[in-house]
Amino acid sequence: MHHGVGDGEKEENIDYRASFRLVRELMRTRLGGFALAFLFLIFATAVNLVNPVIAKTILDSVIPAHDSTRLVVYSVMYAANIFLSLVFNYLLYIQLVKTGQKLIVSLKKKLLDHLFTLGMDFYSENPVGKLSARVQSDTGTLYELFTETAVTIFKDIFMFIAVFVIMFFYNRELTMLLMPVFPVILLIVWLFVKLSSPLFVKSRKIMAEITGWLTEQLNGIEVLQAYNREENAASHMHELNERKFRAEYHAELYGVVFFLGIFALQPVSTAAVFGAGGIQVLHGKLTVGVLIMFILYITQLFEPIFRFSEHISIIQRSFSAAHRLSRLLDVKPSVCEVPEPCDIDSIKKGIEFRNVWMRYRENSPWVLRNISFSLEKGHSIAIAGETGGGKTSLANLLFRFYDFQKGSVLVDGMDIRQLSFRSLRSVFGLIQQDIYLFPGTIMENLKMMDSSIPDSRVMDAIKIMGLEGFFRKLPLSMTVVEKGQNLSIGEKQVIALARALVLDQEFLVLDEATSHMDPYTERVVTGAVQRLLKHKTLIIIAHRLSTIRNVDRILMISGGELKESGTHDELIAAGGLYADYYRLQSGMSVKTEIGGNIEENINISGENMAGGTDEIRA
Amino acid sequence: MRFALEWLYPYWRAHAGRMLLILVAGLAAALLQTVTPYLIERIVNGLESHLTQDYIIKNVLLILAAGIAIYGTNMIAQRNRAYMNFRNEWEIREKVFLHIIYLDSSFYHTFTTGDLVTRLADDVSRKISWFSCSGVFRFVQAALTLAALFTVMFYMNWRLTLWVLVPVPLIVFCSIKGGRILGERFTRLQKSISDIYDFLETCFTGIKVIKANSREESQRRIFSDRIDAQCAAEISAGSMDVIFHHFFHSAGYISVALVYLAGGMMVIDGAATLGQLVAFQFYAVMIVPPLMDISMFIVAGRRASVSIRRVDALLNCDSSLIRNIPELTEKKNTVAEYKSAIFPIKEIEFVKVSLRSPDRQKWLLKDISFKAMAGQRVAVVGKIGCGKSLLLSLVLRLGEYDSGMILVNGLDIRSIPLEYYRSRIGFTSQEAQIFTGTLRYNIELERENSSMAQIMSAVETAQLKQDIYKFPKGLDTFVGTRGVSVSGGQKQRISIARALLAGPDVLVLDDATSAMDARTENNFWKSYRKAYPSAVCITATHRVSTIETSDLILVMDNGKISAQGTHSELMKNSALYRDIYEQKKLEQSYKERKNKGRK
Repeated sequence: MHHGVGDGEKEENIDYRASFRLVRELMRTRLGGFALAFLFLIFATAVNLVNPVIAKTILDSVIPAHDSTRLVVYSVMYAANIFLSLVFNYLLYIQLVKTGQKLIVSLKKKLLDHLFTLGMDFYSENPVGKLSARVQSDTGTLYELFTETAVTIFKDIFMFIAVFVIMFFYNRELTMLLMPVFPVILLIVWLFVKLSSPLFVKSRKIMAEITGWLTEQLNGIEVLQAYNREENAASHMHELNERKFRAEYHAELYGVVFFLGIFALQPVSTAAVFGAGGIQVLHGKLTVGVLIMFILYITQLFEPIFRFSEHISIIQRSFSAAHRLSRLLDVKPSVCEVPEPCDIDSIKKGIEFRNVWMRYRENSPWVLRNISFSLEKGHSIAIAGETGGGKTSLANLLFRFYDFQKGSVLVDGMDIRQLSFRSLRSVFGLIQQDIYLFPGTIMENLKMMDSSIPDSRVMDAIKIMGLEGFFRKLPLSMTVVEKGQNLSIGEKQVIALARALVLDQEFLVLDEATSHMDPYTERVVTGAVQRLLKHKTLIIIAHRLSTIRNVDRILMISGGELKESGTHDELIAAGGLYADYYRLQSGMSVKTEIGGNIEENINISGENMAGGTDEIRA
Repeated sequence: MRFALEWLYPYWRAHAGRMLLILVAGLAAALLQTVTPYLIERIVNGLESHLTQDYIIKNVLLILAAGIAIYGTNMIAQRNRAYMNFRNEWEIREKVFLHIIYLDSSFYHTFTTGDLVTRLADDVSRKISWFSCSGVFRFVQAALTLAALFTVMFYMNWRLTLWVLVPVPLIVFCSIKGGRILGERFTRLQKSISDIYDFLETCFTGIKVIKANSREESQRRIFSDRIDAQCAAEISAGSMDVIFHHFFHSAGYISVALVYLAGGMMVIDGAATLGQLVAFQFYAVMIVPPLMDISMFIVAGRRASVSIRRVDALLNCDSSLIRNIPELTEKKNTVAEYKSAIFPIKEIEFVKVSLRSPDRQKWLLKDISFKAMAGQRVAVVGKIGCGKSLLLSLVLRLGEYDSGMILVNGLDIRSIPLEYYRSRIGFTSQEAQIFTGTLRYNIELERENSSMAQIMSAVETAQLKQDIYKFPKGLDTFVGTRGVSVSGGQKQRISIARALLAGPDVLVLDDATSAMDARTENNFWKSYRKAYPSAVCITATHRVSTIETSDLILVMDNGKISAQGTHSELMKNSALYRDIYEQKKLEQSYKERKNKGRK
């Protein structure tokens, strides 16, 4: 039941070319930084090569000559060299970290900017977790490429070549003897990467699955207990644990065999050098010093090859991250501004919808059909109707979260598509039904985390809305925890209402909360909305009908069509769809007071509800 | 640290054979390690004194044999340590999980889900697992290795050994200190990364608000601050990391330099052989990895101890549910008889039930008394925080109460086995829970004996039928975090279908109809009553249409029932109820006006 995959994405073939292009472009932006790192790298490599030669000199010439002064000099050189190696390696690594960080920081900013240009359709298709993973975890993987491989791989290459050349210089025969070892090691490295990396990926995924599963179960602990599911959950936990154990143990076994194999090569090569070299020494063809030097160098010869296993897996990982990133960067926004958009500071007259038709995708059913209405500045309308009937879709058009296909939407007589996003979205404000609060204080949330807004503006807004009492109970300095869990939906809605006034937008779209409001808060909300009605042009998307009696006009939308329009009293008097809705919500018993007539209506819109398209959750 | 080791001991005890193997293999590896340099000494000294080819070959083969033996013993030790790490992780996590899922609601009020998941996943997997065997037994092996190395070295040349020992205290000191600083910096880095995740999650979830108010700029600023913080943390952790690693890489060579200096002098003076000098050069490098293991043991041990205490704290929590269950004989028919004697539940009665806050300072519920009968619907109303959900959790027996009595069919609720009792109850939580899986799984919730007809009838009563058709694969549609997303209303109705599936005697709904529109809600109550005419239903609700039509309304205020009765009774007697109802009064007047108009 729970065998989902970590990221929800299928393993895809990596487009290495596109990934490489991205990596190359990124590196180009920090060419200087990488060049300096390269310089340090050459020094570090050179320093690392010297010590075996010093050891050889001590053993072969200093000690036999009984020259204690030179012994001191060489020993100090040996120690100094260790220090230098530490210094250059430090400089190299820090240079890479700094350069890599700068590069990743600008990449992350670029990603966020790009994501901000994308429309709501993109956000409804891509879960938040996936987007966060792109911005944070994929860039992190790519960063590893810059610090661990992109430059450092040359260190390993240089080291290998240099050591080989030096050894060849001192003793051709012994060097050639070691030759066959290298292809074998390369093969082992390749095998290890090939076999173990899927296992490591697998165990990472199981870990993510365990975390997800635990969160889900513990969040629903009441349900788990109330349904006597403890044993089921325990056996599922057992199964997950066992899978994790198998995957990790399996992966670890490869690791153990591989890395111990590397260590085992040490005595093998030592034996080989002594075996072949020792006999040469006996024959006077080789000195003890050179023999020891060879053993010391062999370690340095193996290291780069072993590190290749790391390089390969880093390249694999980071290229698949780069692949995902370049695909994300290639996504084009579905709704764009015109090349030279108009800027407006305020709406002078009002807005108008003329025969608007809209749907979310080609070939999908129309969500709005031939909607026409107008709203003058200073007036207010409410949009009522069943869930999925098109209320929210209509509001989405005002913010150009989506575009309509037929008809026109006019702002002060101007096509809405000619306006810049910025001006459009600063004259229109949205108060969402399930509003999202940001971690921070209530004050910060009222300013929408924009610290340039003075506190006094917030206080004024609270006063105008008559919310002083409410915010005395709910202090402005209170910290909102993750996802606003320490506030009720009603409290959140009040904050959102006040926030709308703080941000000082002229036309407000209020998407009413549907649920979980206790009577006290509901009254506060209703009161605040009444105040807003006096100060702003308001479009209320009504779910509960209780707040909208005082609006100038109510539009009843059902199945994407505008069915009725008028004031509350007019619509109630007309006895149509709105009147039925209203009666039901105000709690009148259907049976006793309305009779069979209403039953029929219920069935009709029941069908409408089934036929209406789901509103896109944004 | 001592506490951690004592805590881990039973886990080792349970795998005594394997642990013994780890120790023996570790000891063997430690001893074998000393052999190779010793053989090198013999070869080098032999070369000086013109020995035979056979002598060299014999020693070379011995080096090879020692190498293979080291490989073998290390393999055994390491493999089994890895096994034990993962095995311990498994056992610890399972033990804790099994413990906590039986704990009552007061535990879940103390610990948040996020905290529990961190302890079960992060603490267990990242901090305890490795330490639980590798951390400790690598340390043991390291101690053995050092002992063996120094014994052989002393035996070979004690004066030169002292020289090798000179930098050891410095290495140990620096590595422990450095390890701690490194750990701190990585923790800070981790924190900065999770700050960014928090930001991104909030930002993308609230994207509509951000865009609608064109607040991209201020979001960019926050993001920029946070990535700068991460950048700084990366650099500070990175610089320590590189020093730490290269230091270890180099530390051994400091001893090597000393060996060349002092040893070279001794060779010149004839106090040591060239072979000893060469052998010591290898020994000097060999003492570093065990020193590293020792410092790791201390650094990781400190971290693991903290985590072990965090995990142990969960194991020390006990369920506060009191069980006075009369002893049942093991015979099956007795259980069946017992069940048929007390079930179906026809009546639930609260008699002066009170509940204190965990700190015993104030009453969360005080003197709650009411009686819910078969076929009735009881509505619990009141402001947020008045104790509605708490009351429901007592009905479900998710939590314990301090005084009073809850009677089920006249029996003390504490005397009924939990599992039997809960099997007769259907429940939806305030925030409807959806689990990753198919819709069918979410409704069935592993009660696999249910038939398709039962499922469909629950779906129909819960007003979910129309929705099912809209899902791409109907009941087999995959929902949850990684599947098709469901709306809040659908979640509620799925939970209701889940609650109805077993045909419960008691249905407990915590504000389960809030996202339904008026018409759907009306239909739900009607078909529910039709399908389960004699079930008890207890619901916390804000919906006036539900409240009005309930058989009994409990008006709660500040943990007390301030009034109870039917709608018309309460309208007469309860000011608070009228107050709650007041906002609907105006609408009432519209209705009346309209009725007049009709006349």
